[in-house]
Amino acid sequence: MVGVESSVDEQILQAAIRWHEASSRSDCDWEALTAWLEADAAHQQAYADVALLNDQVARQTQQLQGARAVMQLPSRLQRAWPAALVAAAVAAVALLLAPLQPLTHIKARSYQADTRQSRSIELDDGSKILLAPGSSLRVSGWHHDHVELAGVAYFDVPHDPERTLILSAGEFSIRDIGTRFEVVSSARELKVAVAEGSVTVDLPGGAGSVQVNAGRRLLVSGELPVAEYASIAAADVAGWREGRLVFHNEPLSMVVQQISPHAGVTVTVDAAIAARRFSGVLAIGDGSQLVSRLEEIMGLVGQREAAAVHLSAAALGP
Amino acid sequence: MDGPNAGSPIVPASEPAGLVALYAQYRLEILRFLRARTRDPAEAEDVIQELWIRLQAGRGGPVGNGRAYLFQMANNLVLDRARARRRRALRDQMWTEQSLDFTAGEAAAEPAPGPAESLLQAEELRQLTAAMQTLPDAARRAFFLHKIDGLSHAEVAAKLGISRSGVEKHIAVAMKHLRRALLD
Repeated sequence: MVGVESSVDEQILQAAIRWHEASSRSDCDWEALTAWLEADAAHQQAYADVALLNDQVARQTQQLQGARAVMQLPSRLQRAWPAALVAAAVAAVALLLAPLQPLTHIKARSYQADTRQSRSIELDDGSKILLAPGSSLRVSGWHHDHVELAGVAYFDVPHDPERTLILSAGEFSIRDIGTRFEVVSSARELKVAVAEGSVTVDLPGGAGSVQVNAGRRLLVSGELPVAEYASIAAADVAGWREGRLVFHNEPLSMVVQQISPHAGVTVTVDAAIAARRFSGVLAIGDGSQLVSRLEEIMGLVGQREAAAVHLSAAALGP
Repeated sequence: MDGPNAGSPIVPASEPAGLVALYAQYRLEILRFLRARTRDPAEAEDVIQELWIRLQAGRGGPVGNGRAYLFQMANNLVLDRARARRRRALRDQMWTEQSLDFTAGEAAAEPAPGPAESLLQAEELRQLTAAMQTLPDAARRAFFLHKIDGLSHAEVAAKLGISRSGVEKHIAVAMKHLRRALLD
């Protein structure tokens, strides 16, 4: 049926899909797209529909991955037992509806690394994850191929083209099919440093995706996310594995996030200086000197309370 | 153009003033795109106004090519509105159906003016899952690999043992079905 039927409708859709994919890339020819949209109301309608459908699918990617088994049943089975298939689909949806949790979260496992102690995790597929102190990780998906990270971790994922590890980090999503890399994640900020291979990072809000290759570091921070690249030596990726924290032009908001669990205190930074940049290497040692070293280098003063330090700019001295 | 060089893999953070200047430079082009994209001059005006406000408020963006970034922002704003419209309609529809359920004494009445966000999401997922069930096998498989698993056309082609144009065709067929099931 597919081979014969290639209606005008379908051709327009195919063009709309191509245009939609082009418009997520930075080299899109916007003038040509405008002209194509202007040419025919059906073009505009097709593009609008494709954009909306893509958006809906993209927002439900995780849940749809969970329903993979239902979706991918071979056709013979579908014809032979349509009722069974429908029942399976209904069951899958019911599971989704019942606890209002995505299906991928069934059989989920959670890991937490204590303060000042990293924790290593090995997934069924041989992926190794080193969770930095104070960070947590949740592994889900039917093939344990969906990982949610809060904090910092180093990933060593064996290459397997059949399978993509999907890593959720705050508002970001990182896709990987075999590489070694570090991720530092808070809700809206992200650092990805790649020692080997490459990963794809989907930016929030449909801002497109970027690739990070070996020897490169991507940093996204700020109100509207600003993405910056820098070079990084493989040995500096997740330097905390070797007892040091390596920063290349990182905002203080992210620096304190990375220092806190090693220092054993919650370090926060004044909003006025949160975007100020820091470059340097801090030896972790027993963690007790980290905050004071940062204060010294950056000219900051910390207000210390029980298990917290709030950093602000030092008043200009005499 | 003296804008940032396109295609450079190293993208310096753009200054807000830089984007605002680019906006001034490309405003008419973007407006023309928005008119074509929406076929609604009033909405196009609203969107470009919103773009301007966002640029004033923001700090910049992941900018290698500032012009492309502005077009993408404008395009995303159109999508945001379309999504909001669609979800509003769905919410209204669910609310009506749910109210009927309540009169049957099935569940306790909810004080909120509509179903919760989580229910809305679940309904969207239910519709999407149901629509995907109706796709021809090959189209569903190609669509799933490309859109859900994130494989490229070439990777999907290799995996399914078909040509890249075959993959494109399957995905168009999938879109056609989903469009009919979800948007018509």
